[in-house]
Amino acid sequence: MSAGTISAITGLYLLALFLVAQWGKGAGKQFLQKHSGIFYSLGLAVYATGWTFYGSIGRAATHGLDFLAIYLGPVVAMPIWWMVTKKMVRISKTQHLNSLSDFITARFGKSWFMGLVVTLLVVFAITPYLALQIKAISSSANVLLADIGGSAIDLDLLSTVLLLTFTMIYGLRFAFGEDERYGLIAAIGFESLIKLIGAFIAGWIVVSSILGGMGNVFEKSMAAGMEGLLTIQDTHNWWWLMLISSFAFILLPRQYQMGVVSNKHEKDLKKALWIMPLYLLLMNWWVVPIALGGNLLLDNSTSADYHFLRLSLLSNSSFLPGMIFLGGLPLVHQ
Amino acid sequence: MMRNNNIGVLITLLLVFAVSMPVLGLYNKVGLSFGIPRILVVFLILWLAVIAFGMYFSKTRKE
Repeated sequence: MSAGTISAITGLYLLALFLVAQWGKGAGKQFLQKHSGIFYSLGLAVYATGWTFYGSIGRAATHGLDFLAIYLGPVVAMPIWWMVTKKMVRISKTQHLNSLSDFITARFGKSWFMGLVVTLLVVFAITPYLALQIKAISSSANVLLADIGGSAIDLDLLSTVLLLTFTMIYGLRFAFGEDERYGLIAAIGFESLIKLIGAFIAGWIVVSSILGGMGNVFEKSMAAGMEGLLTIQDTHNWWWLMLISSFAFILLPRQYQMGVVSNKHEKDLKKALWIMPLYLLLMNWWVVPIALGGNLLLDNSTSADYHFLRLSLLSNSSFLPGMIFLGGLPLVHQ
Repeated sequence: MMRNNNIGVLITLLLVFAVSMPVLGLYNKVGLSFGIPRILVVFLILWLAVIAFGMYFSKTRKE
């Protein structure tokens, strides 16, 4: 794939996100209010980052089913999430709390020092997440450019500048104010759908047309001695990972923004009880077959994280890799 | 009160399921059922159970 095609896909996607956000804060506001439960649930899908898209496959290809703990944790904890978030929404609405540090300091006499400590902790905690997103964008672009000898410019730097510029322009336009917030909700919902289409539809095409079907992949993997990758290899870590993931789903700053601050009606929480697990199930549906199929068909020249993209390149068209690249582009989610 | 019990029952069932996994040795069930690895079938059932409960709960619970 050429650099021009990747730039064109990214540019069109950015334009689409702005148009959706403009629609959301204007003409689409009524639509968003009518389907608030669905958009609220899609907003919670910020839990699934660019790492979900590539990293899950990489981990499944090297460590087996351990990666599932990151998604099973929140799924198992959904009833607890509902009970805790309902109370957090009530407290936040009554006391007009707009961030996680506001929420925590409100429980400790609104101490400015506590606010400072929480804010600093949040900044330190989200830095590795941001680094992962930047790495996901630059590495996936590098994989797509591999057949023309890679990129001549530093894609890490370019991805950082892209995310930074996007956050400044987009954040200032759509993150503050009641109407503007609808723009953000619409754009996040749109991006979650693109991510789901990238993972599920593109995954289905890759598994059925390139790998010969899910059953075929599993049978060949067993025959190739990869049955170890179809078990949980580290049971001790598995439990900790499930526990930490369930807490992360409730307490990560971006989850607080989408789960508590963006909540318009309490009834939307009930809808998220099934839409969110369904979303995570569909996101992960093809992860194991793609990981195993990549191990079977591809060499070790790049990280297993990019098995999905590299397998799609075997289709000899730009459509499938483009779809996957867009799915792994976490612009509004950050 | 009755409906709060539903949530309590579900959480208990999920915890029992989670604890029974290592006890029953589900982690290392190698082999295919219906062409799918057995452990994935177990996870799929758990996942679908949570989705089904969520659908039932969101339809029946009135607040």
